[in-house]
Amino acid sequence: MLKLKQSSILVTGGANGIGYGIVKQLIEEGCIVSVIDKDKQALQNLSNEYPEIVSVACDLTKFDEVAVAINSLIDKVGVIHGVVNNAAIIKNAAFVNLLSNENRNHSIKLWDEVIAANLTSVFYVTLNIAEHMLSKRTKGVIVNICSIAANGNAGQTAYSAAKAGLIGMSKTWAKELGPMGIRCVAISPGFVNTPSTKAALAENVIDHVVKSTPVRRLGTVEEIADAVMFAFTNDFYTGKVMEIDGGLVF
Amino acid sequence: MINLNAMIAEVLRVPPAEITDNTSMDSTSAWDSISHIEIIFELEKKLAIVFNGDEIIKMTSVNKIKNLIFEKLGECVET
Repeated sequence: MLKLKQSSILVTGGANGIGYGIVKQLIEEGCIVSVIDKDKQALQNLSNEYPEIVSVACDLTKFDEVAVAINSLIDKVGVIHGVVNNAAIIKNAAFVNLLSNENRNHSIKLWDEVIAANLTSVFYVTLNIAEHMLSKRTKGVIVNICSIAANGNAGQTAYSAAKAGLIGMSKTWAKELGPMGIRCVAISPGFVNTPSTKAALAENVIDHVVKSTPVRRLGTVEEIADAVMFAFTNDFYTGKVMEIDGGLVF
Repeated sequence: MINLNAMIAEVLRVPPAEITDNTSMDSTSAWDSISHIEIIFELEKKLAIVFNGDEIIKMTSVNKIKNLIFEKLGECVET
């Protein structure tokens, strides 16, 4: 079992939203927390609130930048026992928009951008972290924050594909790295009350989501962070997708 | 001391009789880069030693592993 106290955990996209909630709970549990985020101002705010956090600004879609960022974090903290791949962007587009006279088809640029930010970035980060864990012979845990959109969601071809891809990678890494003491868990949140959810969805859509959710509310950041803590501490849990969605059938 | 052939057979999920001193990554399809890491980790755990990167790259056959363990521990493993 991974004891959270004094464990060294990296959270990507940890300066805002769900990532921030996870960071906060990890700090409360006594972890040594590192954060990678592209939002420099939010990172500064996080450092002001938690000066003990080791942070670095980085564009996770660029492999060379990711390698440099992770190496610099490892130099500072010595070892990383766990990673939460949380950084993501939400961008929506109709697959074919018949109401448009031009640019009817899903933008290729948007596809590339969403896949790079939500899928390729996780591959880049975990490649560096897993290599570090294996060379240090450290038992570790990889947590990938997915989404119930992995089951398919109208208007989210790229986002759904990226999140479904994350689930595939999570199960693969659980099988491949498990014998070496590295577990991998996917967590699929439903609709969570964060600024990015409110920015991505109109108020009437959020109302509809709430009415369709058996518990009749959005999830909280703390509830997702609780799932992350479970993933870290239960040593027999790997290769699975934990759906934290209030019972929403999606 | 461990039985090296039996341990490798277990990791590769092949009958123990298929593993001889001459068994190598080239001669056994089950012995790929993924199972190679498993073999290394299993050996490190059972023998309480650590192999460095250069050693890991060279441990591509039962014979080579046997010789390396002898170099490191001064003891022969059973095969």
